[in-house]
Amino acid sequence: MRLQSARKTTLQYERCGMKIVINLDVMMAKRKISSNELAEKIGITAANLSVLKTGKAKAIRFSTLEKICEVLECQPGDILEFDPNGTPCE
Amino acid sequence: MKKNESAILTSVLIKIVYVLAVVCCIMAPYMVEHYDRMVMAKGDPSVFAPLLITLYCAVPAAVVALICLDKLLKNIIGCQPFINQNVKLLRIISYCCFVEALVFVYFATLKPFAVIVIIACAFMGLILRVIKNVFEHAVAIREENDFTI
Repeated sequence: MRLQSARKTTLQYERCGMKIVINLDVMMAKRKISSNELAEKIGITAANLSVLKTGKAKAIRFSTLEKICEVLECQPGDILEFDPNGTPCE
Repeated sequence: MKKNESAILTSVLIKIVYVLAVVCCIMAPYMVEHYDRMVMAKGDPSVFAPLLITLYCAVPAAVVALICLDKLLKNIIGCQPFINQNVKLLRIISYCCFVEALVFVYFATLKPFAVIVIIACAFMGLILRVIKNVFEHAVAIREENDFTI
């Protein structure tokens, strides 16, 4: 139930026209880690993590992706997803 | 630190120009009269009224440009060089330069040397347009960078 709501949150925050979906919420829920804790372990601010989670980020550094995968013990593909349809712009 | 001192110095210079602008507005009739006497001594017709009107017509655009420059400098000193507001300010300053060029067109028909003022103002306006375009791109790059996690 918690994972489904996290997935729904990710989809709600997709950027207009963007085809890359960020499923950070899903992995965070799986690993039972809070935003503040994850931000601290990765070495970014909570605000920047929020930008990433809500899909407002325009780019992600490999170093950041590496740290996220290290902390969440996952693959980049678990966090990043390609949706060929993208989100229609309003 | 040095860059900030430079910006502060520029800010002080703008304040000085503010004061000079006010002084010139007050002293304009006397300065123009003095110039007119020199012109008439050479046998040319009086240009007192046209020159005085031209100068006073140039004041509003000059004041607007100074205010915009001051705001622009404050943003730069406040570590916000590449923001949309600065692009807007540069656009306004460039328009002021073009307006000044237009203001001197009538006086240039009486005294051809004023063409130099027109060309200088138009050229400055053009330079500022290009700088505005550069700032627009810089704003886009900064926004891209801000959203790179």
